[in-house]
Amino acid sequence: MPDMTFEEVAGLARAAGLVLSQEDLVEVTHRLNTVIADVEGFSHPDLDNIAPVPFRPLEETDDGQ
Amino acid sequence: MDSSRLTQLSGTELAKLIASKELSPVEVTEAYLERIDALDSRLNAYITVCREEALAAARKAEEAVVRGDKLGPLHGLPLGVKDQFETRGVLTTSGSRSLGDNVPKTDATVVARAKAAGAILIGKTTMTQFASGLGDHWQYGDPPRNPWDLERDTIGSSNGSAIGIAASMCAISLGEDTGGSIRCPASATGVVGLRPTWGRVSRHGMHGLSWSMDTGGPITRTVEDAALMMNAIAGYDPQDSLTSKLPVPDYTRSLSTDLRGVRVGLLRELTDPEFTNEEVVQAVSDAAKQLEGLGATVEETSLPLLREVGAVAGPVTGSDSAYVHRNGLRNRPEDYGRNLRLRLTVSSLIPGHVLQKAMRARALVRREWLKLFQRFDVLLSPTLMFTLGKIEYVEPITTREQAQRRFGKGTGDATITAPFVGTPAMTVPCGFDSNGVPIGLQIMGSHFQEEKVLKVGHAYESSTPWHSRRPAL
Repeated sequence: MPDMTFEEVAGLARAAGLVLSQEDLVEVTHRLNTVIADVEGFSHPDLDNIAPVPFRPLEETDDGQ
Repeated sequence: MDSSRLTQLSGTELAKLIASKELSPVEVTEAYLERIDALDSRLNAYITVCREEALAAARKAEEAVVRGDKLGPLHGLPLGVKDQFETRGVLTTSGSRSLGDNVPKTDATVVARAKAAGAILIGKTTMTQFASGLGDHWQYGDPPRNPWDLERDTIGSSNGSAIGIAASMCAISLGEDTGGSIRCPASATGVVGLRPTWGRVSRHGMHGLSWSMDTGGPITRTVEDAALMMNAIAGYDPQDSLTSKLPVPDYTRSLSTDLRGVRVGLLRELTDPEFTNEEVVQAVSDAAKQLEGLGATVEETSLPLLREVGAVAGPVTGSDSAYVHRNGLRNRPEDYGRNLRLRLTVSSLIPGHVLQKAMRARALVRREWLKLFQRFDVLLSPTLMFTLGKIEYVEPITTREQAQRRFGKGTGDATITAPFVGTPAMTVPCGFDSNGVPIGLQIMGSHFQEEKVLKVGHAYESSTPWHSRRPAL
């Protein structure tokens, strides 16, 4: 995914009801692009075959299987 | 007993002296209040000091001792509570001016349980705004100061709870940990901080940041004190449906100095000198040797995914917190410090497919992390991979390179994996850097394996001098 532009991030923020100054917009854009690129860069052969469940029932004794 | 000596004792030692009538809860509380009076204007560990309430509770505690009542394990111990936990009749701000008139009618469950075990609420401790861990602005006075070097950072977010213990301004304390907020300040100030298994400790009455990672836990002078506190606060709470119904063991029973048969894994990715400060690596390596000397088998192990956990955890916890603050961010953005406001904004704008991928990465990390515990009882790493810098203002970011350096992959985060997968982790002091600032050893276990973590921590602590050193104040 290519980096988002300042204009695109400003549009997203407006749609989310968030107001940004010009200085804030610059920082938010760079930080957002960093977050997205780092996650996009994550790869693992099992990624598409694993369910995105954050936890399992707490009474279960977890053995890592 | 001389009050300066009294405030150097561990909570466990104090509780025994109170139970045997050698010390009175009033004497103990007064000694800690004197210490707060003498030091807090410099250290800023407290947002609120509960002087009258604490003395009144101490008098009642003394009456109970005189009557010969059955005493709880924390009887008469002055307790500092992070200002994130609601406290009946006492201001609870979460470090934010926007909650400057929030006086709850009830106690958070962990506070109620600590009080029921005899603890005396002595004050509400300083924290970064809304437990964000971002210490770039403080809405209640100056930045909290590190007792070992007033110019050094204490990291966040349970700053005041850790400082209170390190500077002997409370006997025991409660913190909260999302991505490291108990362990980082505890490490920075040379004390013990335990993040329990997610779901082991109730979050009812605790202001949330990330529902899937937040948990309360003890910050204490010794590992034994942490075990004592866990006995009081852990366990199922019908008011928090995400607490576990598993029975709570007596954590003090697991404490031993014999580590024969204990398998310890030393995490290569978190002790690699390319990414971790050399003095920190040396201190952790020495600690591993110390554990071997106590009978444990120590083996270096590797999980390459660890280098990427910080990058994939960010969107998950960020989205959790952006939801919590969605209305405030839209309607009262001026309530937030700049860095927190921008982080919440970034988190609000993360595309859905990125968040979905991060959540899948979380499940993968969890699977691989738990496999390690088939081979090891506990895992070791530094708590912080760097030595502490000075307290400084965070400059705005103006380029993508700056954003990558400060927030991007590879910036090094040893505390994030345990909360990301819900497992317990504890920091214990393991030395000092060349500036005289503490270094922390992180001991991590599998789900509900706090006993193993505490056992290894206690054995290490009992055989080393670090926990007994005190800052010169």
